[in-house]
Amino acid sequence: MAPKDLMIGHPLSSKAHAKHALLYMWKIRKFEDAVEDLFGRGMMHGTMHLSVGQEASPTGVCMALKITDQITSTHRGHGHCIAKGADLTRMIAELLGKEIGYCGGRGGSMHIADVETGNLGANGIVAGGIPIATGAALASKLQKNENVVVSFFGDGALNEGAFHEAANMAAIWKLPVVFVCENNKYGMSNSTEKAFALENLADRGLGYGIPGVTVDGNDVVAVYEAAEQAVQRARNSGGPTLIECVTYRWKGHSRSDKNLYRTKEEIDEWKTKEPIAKFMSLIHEKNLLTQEEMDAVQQQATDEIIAAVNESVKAKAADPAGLEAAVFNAVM
Amino acid sequence: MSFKHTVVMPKMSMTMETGELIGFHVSEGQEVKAGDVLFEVMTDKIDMEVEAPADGKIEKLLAAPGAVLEIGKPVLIMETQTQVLSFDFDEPATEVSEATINASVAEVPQQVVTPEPVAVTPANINKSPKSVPAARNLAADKGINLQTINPTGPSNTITYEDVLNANVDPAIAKRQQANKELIAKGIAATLNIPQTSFTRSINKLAGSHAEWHAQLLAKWAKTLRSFGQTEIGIALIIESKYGSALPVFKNPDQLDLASLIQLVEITTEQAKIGKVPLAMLNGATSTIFDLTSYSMTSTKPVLFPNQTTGLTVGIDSNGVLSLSLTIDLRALDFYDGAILLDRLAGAI
Amino acid sequence: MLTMAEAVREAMTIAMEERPEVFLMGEDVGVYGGAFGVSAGMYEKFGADRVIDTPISELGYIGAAVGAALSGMRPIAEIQFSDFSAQAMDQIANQAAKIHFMLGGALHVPMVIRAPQGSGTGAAAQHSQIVENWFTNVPGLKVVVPSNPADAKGLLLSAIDDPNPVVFLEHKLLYKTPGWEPVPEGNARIPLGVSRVVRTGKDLTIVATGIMVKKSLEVADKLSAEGIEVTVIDPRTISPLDMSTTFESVDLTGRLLVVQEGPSHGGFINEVIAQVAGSHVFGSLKAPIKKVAGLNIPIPYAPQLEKAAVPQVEDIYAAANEIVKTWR
Repeated sequence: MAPKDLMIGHPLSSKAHAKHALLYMWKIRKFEDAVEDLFGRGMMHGTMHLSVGQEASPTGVCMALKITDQITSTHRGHGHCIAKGADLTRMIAELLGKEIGYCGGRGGSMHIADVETGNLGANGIVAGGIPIATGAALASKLQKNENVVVSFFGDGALNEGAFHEAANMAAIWKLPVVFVCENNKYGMSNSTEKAFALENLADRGLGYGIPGVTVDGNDVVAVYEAAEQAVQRARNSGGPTLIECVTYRWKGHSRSDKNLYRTKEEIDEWKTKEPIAKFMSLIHEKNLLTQEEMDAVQQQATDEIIAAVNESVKAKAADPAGLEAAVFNAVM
Repeated sequence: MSFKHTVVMPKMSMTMETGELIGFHVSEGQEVKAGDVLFEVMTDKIDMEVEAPADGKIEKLLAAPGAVLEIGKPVLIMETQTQVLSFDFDEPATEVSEATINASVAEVPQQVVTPEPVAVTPANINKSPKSVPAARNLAADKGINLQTINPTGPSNTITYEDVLNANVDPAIAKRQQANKELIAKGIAATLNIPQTSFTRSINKLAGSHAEWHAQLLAKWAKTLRSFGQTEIGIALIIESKYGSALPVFKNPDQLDLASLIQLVEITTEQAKIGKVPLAMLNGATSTIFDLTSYSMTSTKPVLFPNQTTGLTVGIDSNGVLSLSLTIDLRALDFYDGAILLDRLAGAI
Repeated sequence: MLTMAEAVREAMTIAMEERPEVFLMGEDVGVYGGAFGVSAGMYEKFGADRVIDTPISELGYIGAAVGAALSGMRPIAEIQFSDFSAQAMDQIANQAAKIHFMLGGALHVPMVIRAPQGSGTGAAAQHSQIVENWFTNVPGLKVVVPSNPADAKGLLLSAIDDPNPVVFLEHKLLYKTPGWEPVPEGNARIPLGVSRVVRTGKDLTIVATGIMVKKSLEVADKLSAEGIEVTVIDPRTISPLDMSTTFESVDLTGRLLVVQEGPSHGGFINEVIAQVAGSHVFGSLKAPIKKVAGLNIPIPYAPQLEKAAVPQVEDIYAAANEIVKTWR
């Protein structure tokens, strides 16, 4: 069951599309704010990886995807999940260890999957989802169902063997998969300058015969346009594309990060390139939405997150009773 | 305020005359709490642990391990914080007068101690030789003391075959024999009593062994009570390593079923290793012999001395129970017997 | 009589004929027919879309199998030597095994990883290991170790049907040998998680899997001639482990010998021992429980060294003999 407001198409193609893109970016932003608050209050167990500042890439990519298209996601995956249409209450509930959470409290922040929206799951292992997305694309090809699979991953994943093996297979078999590298400049503390001898990480595709394209990952329109082209290519048996979305992670890698590896000036500078403001100025330029309408969208996102938190806080805590029975799927 | 209390060789069955002191669990000068085990006694029927009746201090041990003491003879003296009242025995220990207890305790040991070549001391009571698990279980079943077996396995370990080939501990064999003779003597004494037997078939009650026994005890007691009996004690025959043990369940119909089941469970476990609580050794007015676990249909139920009824329960290959009742015709007539059995069958 | 390789091929062929979502992938499984010839002729029969030659990318294609399984396919992924599963361990242990549980139960990973394991070919330390116990410690994986062609066929059919990831480990020395009974025709399944009593005897219980079953049966024959009757139990699926048959048998024999080719330190046989020692049949033991297992060393190359590293019939015989004859 897809959410009613999920929308495909160019973010500037209509009032409704603009509203959708803006709403989803706000939802991701507000969701992360809520998570940070809940974590700070000791209501969340474990850790979390926030994607504040990176809202444009999941939103732009997912506006190029049908509901039957699939994604794999990462430890910093709340945005992908939301952009693909997941239910906010079940997401928050999962983070709070509730029975109604997407994984019944067994997965937490790093492991949300949602079959209904084609989300094959976030992955705690860097690059873990790339071979899986490739395999899902293989299934799509074998089943001839024309579904496209997008694998989201970070810059660090490009240096994992899994990427190289999967990219090669996707290329030789011309699989309908799109590799979306969200280059947020740091693999934990290790900067891309230290970890790569490349200026554009998208050039990694060349070694596998895969077109690589680098876009401003904070520009939802640019992301959408690159994704749309890659998705069409994949759907038409043209094979995979590597898209590098250059963006920036405002918050630390995780809660315990003291930002010792970067300067406050650098963070502040990236805040000026903030994706939501950037998109609102585009909307303003194109006269698509009034300020009041944009304010209302932000308010809607806020209200939805508050409602989701309120509902999931009240939900029943996950019960250890069924744990052992949950390891295997019952034989079909 | 403190009191002197003499703990004597307790009487544990109607026919017990003497008991063998296996060993002490306490030493002179030791502080004890009520319920602490003072010493162990072996008789022809059971092993008994005798417990401290109250908090206090052991003043003197009056007998030596291995000694065979007559009932009522002093075993130890303890100083207690509270006055100990003892109403445990059917007959008051008149043989031991107040004067004896208070005045001549010091002399008693010399008079009653019978030195035995093998004294079982508290130190080695709980020391058990190495054996494989199956050997240990088999020894328990056969009533063989592992200490009497010569181990042939590696590292001086008793093997299964060692136990298979071993003879029953002479002490236990002696007690098994004594036990048999005792029961035979009792039954022989009742043979001349005018008596008759009835048999009837019914369907089996479901439930565990203990549940079934508890229900049987309660229903039989209730049936007897409906016949005007008030103080009912039912002995249940349990196979122990010393032969048949006969713990007596007093008024089992007046306990709630859950407690009775628990009591039957615990008593059965204990009886199997030769331990029956003192309070459950006397006062039977009837006896139940359950043959169902041996897949026997019936045997002629017998009358034990001073009992007016005896009940045997058997089972046939179709799972149908047969109840056989023998009655003392001096206490009950034919008609009573038939009604009793009918009421029991109805209750079941 | 079919060999193990033929029985495995027959099971894969039947499954692929029955279900369009079943396909085989792996290194050289296509035209070459697999390094051990297990898939010979399947490429010709099913074509390149269903018998897929992969690049030498164990992590990549095992991950692709996971993804395909998530999307409605039932891949059989062959790893040329089970030793190479180490390359793919993230996808096996962190992804395939955990996805169903960790992601809340809505997703499942019906895939089979087939691989040859074991020593005896002189291929040395990186091509000769028993790897089964790498996987038994990962909840979410089923681990099957067939000991003969008939079981291999029935178990593999069930493994392919199973909605969970199954690691199916074939001993490479068994590939070319027939078993001790003919392989049943048709598509009869043997359920996973059910152990098999291969031989019955009252004096000793031997629990063994894979090639060690064959060796244990040889020992049982030898002992039988000496008047000692041995029960041989093959758990077949070592995770989840069916202990009921072993409990019953030990209750009867009072003696237990467990055998594995893999190194002694670790392994499912230690679980067998622990469970028996902690079970209701403990009181039936007439002898200490014994274990015959590989040495805690990498498999060496030279034939006499390789032989010394893993249990031989003589070692099993010696242990069985000692248990029964010393502990009467």
